[in-house]
Amino acid sequence: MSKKAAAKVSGIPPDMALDRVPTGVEGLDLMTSGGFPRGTVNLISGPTGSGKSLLGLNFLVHGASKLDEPGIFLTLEETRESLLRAAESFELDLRPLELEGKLTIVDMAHIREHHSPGEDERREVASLAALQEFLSHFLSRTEAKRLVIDSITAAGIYTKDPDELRQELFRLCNFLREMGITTLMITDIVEGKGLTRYDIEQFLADSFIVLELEDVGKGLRRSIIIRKMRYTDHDSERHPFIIRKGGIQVMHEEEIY
Amino acid sequence: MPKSRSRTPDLGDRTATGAVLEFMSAHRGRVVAARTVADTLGLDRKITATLLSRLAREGRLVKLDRGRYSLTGGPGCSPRADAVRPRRALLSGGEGLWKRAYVGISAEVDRALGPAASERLVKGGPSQGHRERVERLIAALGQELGGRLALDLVQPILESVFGENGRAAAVRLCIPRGGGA
Repeated sequence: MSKKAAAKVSGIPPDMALDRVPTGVEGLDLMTSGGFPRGTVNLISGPTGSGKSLLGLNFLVHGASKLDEPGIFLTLEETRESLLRAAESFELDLRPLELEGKLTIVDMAHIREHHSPGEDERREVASLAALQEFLSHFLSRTEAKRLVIDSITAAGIYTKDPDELRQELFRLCNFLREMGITTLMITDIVEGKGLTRYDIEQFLADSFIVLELEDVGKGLRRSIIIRKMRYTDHDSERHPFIIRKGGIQVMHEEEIY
Repeated sequence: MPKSRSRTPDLGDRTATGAVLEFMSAHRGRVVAARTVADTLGLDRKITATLLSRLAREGRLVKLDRGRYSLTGGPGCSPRADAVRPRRALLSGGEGLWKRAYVGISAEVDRALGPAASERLVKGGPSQGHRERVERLIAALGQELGGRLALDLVQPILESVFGENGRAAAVRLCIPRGGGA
């Protein structure tokens, strides 16, 4: 697809179509020819414990600390304290970035827990429509260039009708593109049951990366595969990755068959 | 008296649909007359009636009799539309109560949005009293989060400090008349 055609489809101005947003994850940026195209919505899927949130943190910390690109981590299930503790265990110190205003952790989980006496009201606070409404206010008042939503599963759970869910998610993705923010959207999967929780997220996002966990007898083997990435060439092999101090490292020269 | 009263709407950056849904959300569990919605938000009554009717068809609101609507419907709804007409709730309380409210809301903002956002939102003049600080902070929260989410954050605290009046005041402060949330 030409740069102009890509821009037309995505709503991204032509001059920005190949502007890259590196994740800072060693190996992953090599798989994507330099990072996500700016202003795109990128889906990360994987089972529990596969490293999705950590990948999101890597993405934001790299932008905030190395590229002067402020970011927002929107957590819908994990609390701020839990997230900060988890990050610390990987030697990612988020507090200085927060104090400098380069990273904002929005604890929607706390707001929901604080408020929600009944399911109807939780729906009001946590639905995809409510999330979009919140972002329309919040993004217009910040300089954020990067956004992580952890997780879209938590917001979508209150929309029971699949058609309605698809429409809401479609609206949210388009809204995020219009805002020009590069988004990493996380979705959970139940092991052995599809590639994403609702089986529609991958159609609406611009890219789709799956983190996998495989039981190899002595332990779990982690691997990553890019199943889709619009507007750019990308590596489509499955590569192993490790989680270490500082975050995720993808062994892009090694392949798993 | 003209059939359709309207004044210049002040919806901020929201659409009329967004403003109406926000208003209905703030009055969840109650019955609201279409006329009340229109007059409160400063919208044309006929347009508002059409909008509400569409939202009901889409299943986002429940249509009741005599031009009245509810977000949820059901037996918990008040039958009196007048009951939800926004009133300027007067919060009576000494500086101590306002300070409690301020401390409570600040702590919630700190936990929900982190230190930098909290600092940006809570800053105010040193000579401000706590009541003024609370009102200013809630207004800033409405701008930052949108009225609905701000209400979710603020309402339980004002209610715990000021009782039922605090609950009503939270609606007034987060979703002010004219819809400038």
